[in-house]
Amino acid sequence: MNSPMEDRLREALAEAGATVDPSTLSPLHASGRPRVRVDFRLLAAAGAVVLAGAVTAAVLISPGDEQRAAVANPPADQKGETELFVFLCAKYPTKSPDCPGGSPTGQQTRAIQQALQAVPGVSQVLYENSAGAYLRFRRDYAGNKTLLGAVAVADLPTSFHVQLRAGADVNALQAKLKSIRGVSGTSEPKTDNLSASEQGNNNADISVFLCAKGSAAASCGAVAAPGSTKDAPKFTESGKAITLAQQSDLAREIAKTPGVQSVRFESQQEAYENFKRAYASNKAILKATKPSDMPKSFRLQLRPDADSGEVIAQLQHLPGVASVINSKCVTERLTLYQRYGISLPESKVCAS
Amino acid sequence: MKVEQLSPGGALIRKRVDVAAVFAEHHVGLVRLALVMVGDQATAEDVVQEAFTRTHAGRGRLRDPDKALAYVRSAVFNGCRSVMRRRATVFRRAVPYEPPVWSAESAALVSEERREVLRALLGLPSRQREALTLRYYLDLSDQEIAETMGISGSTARSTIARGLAALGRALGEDS
Repeated sequence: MNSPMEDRLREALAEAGATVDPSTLSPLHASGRPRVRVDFRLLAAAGAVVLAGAVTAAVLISPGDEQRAAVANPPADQKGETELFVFLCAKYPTKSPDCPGGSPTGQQTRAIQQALQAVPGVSQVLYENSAGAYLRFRRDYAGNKTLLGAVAVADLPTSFHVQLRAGADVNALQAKLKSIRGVSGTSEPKTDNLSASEQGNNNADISVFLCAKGSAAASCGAVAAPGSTKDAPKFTESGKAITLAQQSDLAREIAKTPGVQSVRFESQQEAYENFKRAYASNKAILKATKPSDMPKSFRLQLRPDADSGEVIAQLQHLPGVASVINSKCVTERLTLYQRYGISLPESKVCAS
Repeated sequence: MKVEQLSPGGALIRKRVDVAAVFAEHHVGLVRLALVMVGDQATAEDVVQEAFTRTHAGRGRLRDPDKALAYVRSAVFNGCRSVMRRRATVFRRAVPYEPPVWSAESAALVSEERREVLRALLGLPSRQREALTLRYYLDLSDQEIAETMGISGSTARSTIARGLAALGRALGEDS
């Protein structure tokens, strides 16, 4: 039945196939993530704070009442489990403060994986390489040409996706991981902010922060003293608060600006309430902050077709304006870090 | 009536297949298949990993458990095709590329006689090569080959016959 040719072919293929030694195969790595249904671009609330860390950034968040409810009741499908992304150092840039040793070798990666699996409370550790992360990225940002053009496969770090059981100490684990060589950072991709984002986008597109008394912003007239550093700022002259006249001029100016759909004024007291809500779990920072520390702001919503860059450019040099922040941009950048471990400059994320 | 409306959806969910499990079970086999196709183990492992990542991402789409393996094999197969196609472009003007399994360096692993057959196989049109690999390496039936390659059963049969004849000619056999 079998011709000699068939036999020869069969044997040749069998012998070629047999050269694969099963014990030398590296295991398959899963991205392990189902397709994402939530639009993560509209992040809100607490998460933004993690990124910016500054008081002004905290004020960005103006959660409505529904959002407060969302934060109080985390979605049921989480079952108390926490997911933690552990980003590994990328090959490039070779020298970064988080990664003095460069990207981890295969052995180091395995060591990290084993260390993660050994942590009590960890139920699952999945590995995702750059290609996997990129596929996920492409899917999440399928409609965003700017971002797709700005990010290449090699920009995305490899990562471990760690599933923690309810009650596991996430903060302790995060602190421990930071000290491990080859780990560039960690993030919790499913923080409360996601549920808040589902509540709709009643967040402002653009926030215009006004100068407060003693402001450190140069736009408010503050003059930095020679020898002033970021950590220990000194001023020869501190900033001046916006005057009432300036404030009403500004309100008129904003209303005239093309592309602005609606404006809402946020007082210091409102800002402080939001701040308290966002930092409810952080007693130290609440204690250190008074309502008078919070800047007043105008919260703008833009028409869908408006050019946010142009609006910002028009407003940021008006008298009494401390800073103008594109909230969407900030949350978008936060999402990019939380979910993919990349920090991109604002110009790349929000070039409109 | 409501129950009837719900049941098709439920059935689909129950039938969903864990592609990852199929991969885990057949990992070595798939790498071997890829190796036979692309010639070296490193690329073969990459192809399988890539196929795994892709299918894993789309695992919700696979609804017929009987076709899971054929589906996974097709994914690996397509990966191999891409590799071969890429190589063809890269090496078109350069020296012919000799992947390790049928190259002189692997003489310790595979005997000369076998490597001759493998080289002849590499010289065949890609579809014949694929069909022959599935038939004589995995011992698949015509129908399974057809499913994996996305062609009809009779096409698979005739492709194998023609491939075998061409291989015989290439190796100087008169039979």
